[in-house]
Amino acid sequence: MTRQIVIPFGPQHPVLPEPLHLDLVMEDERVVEALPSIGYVHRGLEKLVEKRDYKDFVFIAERICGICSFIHGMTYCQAVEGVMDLPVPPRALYLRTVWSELSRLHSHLLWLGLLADSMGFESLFMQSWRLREHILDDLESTTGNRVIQGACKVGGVRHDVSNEKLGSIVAGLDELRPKLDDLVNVFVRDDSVKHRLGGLGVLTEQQAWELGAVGPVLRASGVSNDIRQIGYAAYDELEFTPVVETGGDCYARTMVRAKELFTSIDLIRQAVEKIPEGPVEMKVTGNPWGEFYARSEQPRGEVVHYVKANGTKNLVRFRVRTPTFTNLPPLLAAMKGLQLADVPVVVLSIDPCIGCAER
Amino acid sequence: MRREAQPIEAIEVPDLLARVGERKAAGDRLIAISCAVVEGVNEITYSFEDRDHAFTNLRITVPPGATIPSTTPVYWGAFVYENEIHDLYGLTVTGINVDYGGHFYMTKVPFPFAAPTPAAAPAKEEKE
Amino acid sequence: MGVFTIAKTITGNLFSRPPTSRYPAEPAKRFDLTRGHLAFEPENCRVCRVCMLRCPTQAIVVDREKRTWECDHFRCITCGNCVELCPTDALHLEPAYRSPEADRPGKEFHEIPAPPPKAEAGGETAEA
Repeated sequence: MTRQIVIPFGPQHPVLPEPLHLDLVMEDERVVEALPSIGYVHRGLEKLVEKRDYKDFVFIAERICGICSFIHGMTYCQAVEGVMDLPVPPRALYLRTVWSELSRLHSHLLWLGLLADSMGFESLFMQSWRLREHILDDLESTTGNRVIQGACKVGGVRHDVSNEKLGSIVAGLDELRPKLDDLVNVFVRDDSVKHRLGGLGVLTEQQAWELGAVGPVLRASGVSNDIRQIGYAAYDELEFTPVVETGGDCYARTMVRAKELFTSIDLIRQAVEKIPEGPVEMKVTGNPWGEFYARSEQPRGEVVHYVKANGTKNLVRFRVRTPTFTNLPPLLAAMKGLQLADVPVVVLSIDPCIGCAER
Repeated sequence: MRREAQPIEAIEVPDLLARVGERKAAGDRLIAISCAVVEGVNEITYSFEDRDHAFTNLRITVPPGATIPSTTPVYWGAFVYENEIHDLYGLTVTGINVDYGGHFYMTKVPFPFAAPTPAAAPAKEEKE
Repeated sequence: MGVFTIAKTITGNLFSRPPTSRYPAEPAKRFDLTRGHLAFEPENCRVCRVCMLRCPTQAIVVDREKRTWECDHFRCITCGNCVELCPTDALHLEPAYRSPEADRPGKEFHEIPAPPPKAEAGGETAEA
């Protein structure tokens, strides 16, 4: 019988930019059980909704997360629009789709870089972030900011983007594609990457589904579940198939995100081809009354924004369930039996965003 | 743009575990457990999704400070939501598999989101 | 098979310019829409206080009695909400970021000239 010891892991850790604390119950080098503690960055943003005008709160909703900010803002707007049953102009929906996919591209490239960094593959890390910079330039030139875009508002979007500009974004992405091919080729085929990630932190399909995994973690375990399929924004008019892998390990999760880069480029091209002319915002009058659940697919997985309103300009309740929050239980299941040295890579493989998780 | 249907079914607290068990048997995934304070009572909503993205909700209504049964025997991963509800709303959840005992969110004010009761007026105070 | 997969990229990088810009030597990248910082023109202001009331972070304080406008740039998130709402175009966003400051003030203070006699703008001094 070996003796069990508890090793505290985090909240400050070289590969984890996020304050996640884990108590690892170890037997020799092997993890027997892991218990997460969060609560270091709880900001109480959900409570703040009671003091702000519902139209202004979109800027705060966007600041829940520093990476998937656009989709948080968009989902909040969808929730309020759902309560008020607003017919949002189609051009605005297409622009939201383009920006969501650009966000997904930059988030996945960021994650691929962080993963390479956690493996000690520094040049791959820098290469990923170098390509990400092109996407950030596209976002900044169309919305006004690199990551906190502030482009959505209740009833539409704040800026129109000319068709020429949209065309040049697609042309820029086509130029970027060979470079992304080279980058993804390294993740897919390099032996050192394969050996580091293969067979690590395996989640079976059954486990992933029942423990509530979402996004790339769920799809890497062989479940074809992508919230974009429910057809929010303009996704009901665009063609795509969710990227699904069956390995369930860290390597499969990397593959899902790497391949989604190309899905996103394809979706942007389709959206730019189909984008209708017309207004990009509508006049919103009155206050919401009712409740609505808006769901959308973030780079990290499904996000749920719940809004309840009672006819005043302040909402009664705003609740956000972020992908990291629901990916924590699957992470704990995936960590059983791991070597201590593999823990950082497996934690990173769910793309944790604790700032999101705690709001 | 499609807006999905989101039926909400009100159920009684004693039926909760049986109804959640039905959803699990039907192969649904637990999306979230959300709590809201509406006119002094807590509405707790359990949201589920099946493999074809059909979104359904079960809702129980309990008074402030009430005790609710845990759904963790059915969905193991529900402990994150239930600890959150305990720490932010002050409801007691019994039979939870991983109980943090109020240390999931370490907030300066205990139960910051709870319904204001006349006795616990300072609970409303929140940092700007 | 799977070795030296990144060799092509690295060789390419050896013979190309660095992708980063040499920032102090050459100007930083900016676009027309870039939200750098909030700028205020006291002459146009009618002290309606909409910017103060609708600011998501409560960064702006407008005093109707004293006719003053104050913005805490450390709280301001340059969302541009006040710029859109301002009825008299007294606010706009500049693409350049504010220069770094060593200590905490970050506050910008303006006196708003009284409307009937078109007086010159008040002191444009930063206040501690």
